[in-house]
Amino acid sequence: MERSCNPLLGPMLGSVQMEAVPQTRANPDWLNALRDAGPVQEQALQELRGYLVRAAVTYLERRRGRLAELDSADLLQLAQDLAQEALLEVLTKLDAFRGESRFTTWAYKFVINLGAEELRRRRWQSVSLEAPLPIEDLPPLIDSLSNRESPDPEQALLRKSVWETLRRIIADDLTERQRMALVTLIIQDAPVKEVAQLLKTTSNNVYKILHDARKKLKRRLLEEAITPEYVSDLFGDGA
Amino acid sequence: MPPGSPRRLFRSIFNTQEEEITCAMCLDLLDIYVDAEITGADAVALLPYVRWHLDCCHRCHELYEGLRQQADQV
Repeated sequence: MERSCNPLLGPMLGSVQMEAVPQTRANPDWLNALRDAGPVQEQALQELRGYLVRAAVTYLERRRGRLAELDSADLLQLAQDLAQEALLEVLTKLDAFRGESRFTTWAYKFVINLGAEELRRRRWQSVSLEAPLPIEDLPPLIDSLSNRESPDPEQALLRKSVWETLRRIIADDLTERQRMALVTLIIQDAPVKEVAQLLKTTSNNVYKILHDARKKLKRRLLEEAITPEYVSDLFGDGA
Repeated sequence: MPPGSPRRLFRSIFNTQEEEITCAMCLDLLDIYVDAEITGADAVALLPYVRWHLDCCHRCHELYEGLRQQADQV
């Protein structure tokens, strides 16, 4: 019998039948049971729901700092909501399972992706992306967010030079859409869907825009003799 | 890595490859990559494009870390 040692789940079992979960099924067992009907399917759904809730709780608990406004009951509710949504996705995409991984690993992917998007969405609920960040604000924003002000004057000067070079490249070599994708996705960590909406395009195309931006930046930085090793030494924590 | 950290920014730039898969493609293959790692197979040789994508996309890297942590427990 599988037991949970997670204190969050201990006193709040609810519909999560932790005590009744048998050992993991083999892939064909999962697929056959979930495609079946009646009690066979119901049992498989209960088991899978249990796995997904546990995965969601573990994922959210490890990122507790980003959910400070939630108490334990709210966090468990959120985990259950995410698990339910993931369960529906799993059932919808059952035919897409390749069988090249464990079924549970494949299923976990959905709930963790939903969890990550939920955390990002919560962080950005009050932030508007309507006004893209001015390029001039880029270096101070990065420094203030990363708290990387250097006490060494020479190092501070060299860092400033790198930021100015990067800012110039971003201003001169990237298109407006590439700049927006870079700032919102990498620096501001905005949800992809919001950026896609801002750029009036699809999520996949947002990635392509960002990829094109990164390729240009990489080429231009190397042309300016700013290498990964140089940046790593300069910023002290490995870039 | 915190949002906006220099490390994240430069990592995403310098790890860029000429040809890359999208986040959707990476997510599609992530379970295979993670389970390959767990079983001791050479996941990078099996799915190099996934590895390259994880090296420059912090969002997918976070998903990879979360999935790896969970998959390890089963």
